[in-house]
Amino acid sequence: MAQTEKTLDWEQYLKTAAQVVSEGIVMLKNDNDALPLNPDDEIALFGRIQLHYYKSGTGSGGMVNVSKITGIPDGLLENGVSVNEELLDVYRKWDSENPFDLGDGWGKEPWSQTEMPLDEALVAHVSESSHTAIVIIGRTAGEEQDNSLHEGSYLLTAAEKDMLAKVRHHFPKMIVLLNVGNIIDMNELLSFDPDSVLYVWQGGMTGGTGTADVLTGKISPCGKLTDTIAANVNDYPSAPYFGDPYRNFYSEDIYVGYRYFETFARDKVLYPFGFGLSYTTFDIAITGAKQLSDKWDFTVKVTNTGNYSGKEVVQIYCKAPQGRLGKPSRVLCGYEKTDTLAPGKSQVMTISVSNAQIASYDDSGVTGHAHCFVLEEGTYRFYAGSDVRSAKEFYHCPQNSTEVISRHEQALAPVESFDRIHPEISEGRYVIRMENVPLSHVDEAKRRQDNLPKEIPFTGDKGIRLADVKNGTHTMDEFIAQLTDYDLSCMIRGEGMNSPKVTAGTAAAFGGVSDELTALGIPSGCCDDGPSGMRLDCGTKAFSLPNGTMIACTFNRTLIRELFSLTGLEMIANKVDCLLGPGMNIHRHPLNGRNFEYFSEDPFLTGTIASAQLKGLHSAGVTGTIKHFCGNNQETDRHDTNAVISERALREIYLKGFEIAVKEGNADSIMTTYGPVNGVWTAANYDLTTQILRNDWGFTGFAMTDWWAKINRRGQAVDKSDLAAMAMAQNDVYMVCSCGAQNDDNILASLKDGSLQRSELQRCAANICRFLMNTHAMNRLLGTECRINIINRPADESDVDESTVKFYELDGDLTIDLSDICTDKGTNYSFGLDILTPALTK
Amino acid sequence: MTLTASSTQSEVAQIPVTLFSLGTAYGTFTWNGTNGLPVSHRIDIPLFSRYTNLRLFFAQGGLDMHSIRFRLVSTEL
Repeated sequence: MAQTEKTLDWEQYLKTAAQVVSEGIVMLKNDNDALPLNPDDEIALFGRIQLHYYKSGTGSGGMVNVSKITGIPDGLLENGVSVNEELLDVYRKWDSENPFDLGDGWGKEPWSQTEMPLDEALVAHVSESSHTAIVIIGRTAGEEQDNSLHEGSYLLTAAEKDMLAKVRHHFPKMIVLLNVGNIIDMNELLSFDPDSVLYVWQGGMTGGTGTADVLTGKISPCGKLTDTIAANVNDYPSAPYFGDPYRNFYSEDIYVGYRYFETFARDKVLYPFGFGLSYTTFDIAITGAKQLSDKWDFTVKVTNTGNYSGKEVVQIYCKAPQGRLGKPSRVLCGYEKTDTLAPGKSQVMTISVSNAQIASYDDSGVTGHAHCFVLEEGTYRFYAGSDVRSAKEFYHCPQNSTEVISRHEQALAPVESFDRIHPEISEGRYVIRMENVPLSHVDEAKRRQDNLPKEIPFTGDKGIRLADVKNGTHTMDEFIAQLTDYDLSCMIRGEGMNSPKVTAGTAAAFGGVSDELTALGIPSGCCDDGPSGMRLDCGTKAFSLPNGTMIACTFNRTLIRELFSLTGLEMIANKVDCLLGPGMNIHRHPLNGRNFEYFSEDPFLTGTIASAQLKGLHSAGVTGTIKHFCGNNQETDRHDTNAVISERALREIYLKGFEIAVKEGNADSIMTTYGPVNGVWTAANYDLTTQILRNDWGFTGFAMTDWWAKINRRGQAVDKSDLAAMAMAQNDVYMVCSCGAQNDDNILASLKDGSLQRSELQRCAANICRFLMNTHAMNRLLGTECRINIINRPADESDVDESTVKFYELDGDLTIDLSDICTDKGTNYSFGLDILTPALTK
Repeated sequence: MTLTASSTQSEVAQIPVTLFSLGTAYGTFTWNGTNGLPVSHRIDIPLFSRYTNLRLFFAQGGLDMHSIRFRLVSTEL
């Protein structure tokens, strides 16, 4: 059998990731030529987090074991910057006496670390030799843990404020770097009047290199905010509802982020969406506009008018007519980033804007076109610029009558009454009028019943293997026809975590999870966390990527695609088929704990960046599992809080990014959320995973639940064993069961009592097999695997070889002899437990 | 579970070992020199997944690991 070999150059991987970091950094302020750093200056570094660079947030979006993290001091030193060693030593000594607090378990790491108390005499002394200070503020957050309006989370701590005050007092130049996952309060920070402020985000294992490249001027900052920074956290329109543990009304409707602020509250904005400074300046000129049947092509010329080389992001916004639906004042509908332009140089680019991107969803029928995306009659105005606020109108065109862009059926609509924001013009400005949200009139059970797939008659084992379907000698139906009821019940069970059927330390095996399924030639696919790189719990080292917000701030799809093509090769090397990311929920509120791994408050940017990631992964023959579908916008009580969202807000905001990822990014794997949307948990929500995902969007991949997700049926209590409901909804795989071959669920009983159709299980099985057929796992079965030759990766003696991880059976008391293991400094020892009898063990 | 180890290093030596379960740190235990005698540390951690990966990270050398012991408390969950 033919095998192929590909090369993953680790140096290229590091370099590409560092470029993403440099391009994702957002500079908000740069006075007094504080940056770029003067190469002759010695820099004084303040803030204890300089020694513990946050490479990502916590939870599944951040648990990558790495060989080395390049922090900001490391990056500066690599770049030849002179750093005040005396001060660095003070921090090192204090840090050794006050170790980093990891917390004591899942989701328990503190949002920030205790800051070193700063002696004013030390600051004064250091300022005698160093005239430029860099202060680093660090924050984490993540799964199970929202940010909070407390010191050390969204707000600065007293020690941080003391540090900023003393440094400001003694240093002529103070640069503040925010090593954070998402935006934090800026009011207090700005009150210390820093010369420069940069969101350097969480840049993965090579974050310090990319950050230093910007600080030293090797790369001019070119990242743009993917969220609006408001003056006050309570200015965000979702603030009254965010964090509700029971029921979260999305009353702000489509007016999320800049859609709200630019329409109703321009004066509340500190930094607008899309904003980010450079060391140079650019002129943006629209030189052509061409209207085609389904899109506009705008030609734009960008000229570097300053003194540094740099890149610029051109953003196109649309202002649609208010019509009957009401519209935001601005909607991002196109963007493009230039190449690096030397001073005086220009680049001409074409930015396409599709009709679909500026259409609005009518969820009430007020336009005469219920459940359609429409372009309402009126004038459409287009704006171009480098952020939403400064973008200038350059083109407008009339829409002479309301046009239907796409027709849909009502789906996933709310079932309980609430009000939402609707704009009304009063005295020349938009004011908020609340209106009732249209409710669902769909009989979900009838919809399912009317659309049941046709059962494939059972044939028993005809000797057809999945490879025969792949080779085209038999059809998928012929293959599926062989599966018994028992086989079908196993197919929809993911096994994990740490299933020995796949790479050690990963999240799940799926597909070939029983002996019978394996005998039919179904491979075990491997899913692994997550958005920031591979989480290999046995300790195997992997590449830690910049966080989602930073990736999106690059606005550079080409670069992101390139980075993830390298991640794809790394996945092949570790026998991982699905990376459980990108996370692509909307930044509805700044305190959401998982904002760090999500991209933006804007769905178009979210969907297009996700598509770039997917295209990169797909180029290597692996995939990303887009998540969390949909409406996972807070961590507090995420398993239970009911997201009550209008159909319009779902279609235009919370589903839009996923739709783009499916249609443009060819997403073939998707994960639902933990919680409910409009009363039904997403793990078994027919409208979500069948009507919208497949019938509307044409998704042909496979869907999975989040890990140990709750399941319910409309109006009924949750029941995690109701995998029948999940299969009816065409959510294909339950993640995760402890054993794929045997599980305490209701699948076979539901088949027997007729409430679940065999055809529905066959449909899930076909979805899974269609996906698996084209994986490297399948190729390995066939002996046609692709081998990855990793070059230029430094040796790491502490790395764990996952293939040597031994599993011990735990069934009562167990003592494992560890007398032969290596305990040298920096080493890991990893082993697995196969817990045969669930029990309380100490 | 109970981790048992010994060390012949000095009585003021600090030899930390961090225990990870499914990638999450559940505790760091620091041994001092033990004159070569076995010393145990105990921790209760949840084992909620049938297949659970445990990892010990040795931040310093000089420790002789003896064993890790799991004791059944109850099969009534």
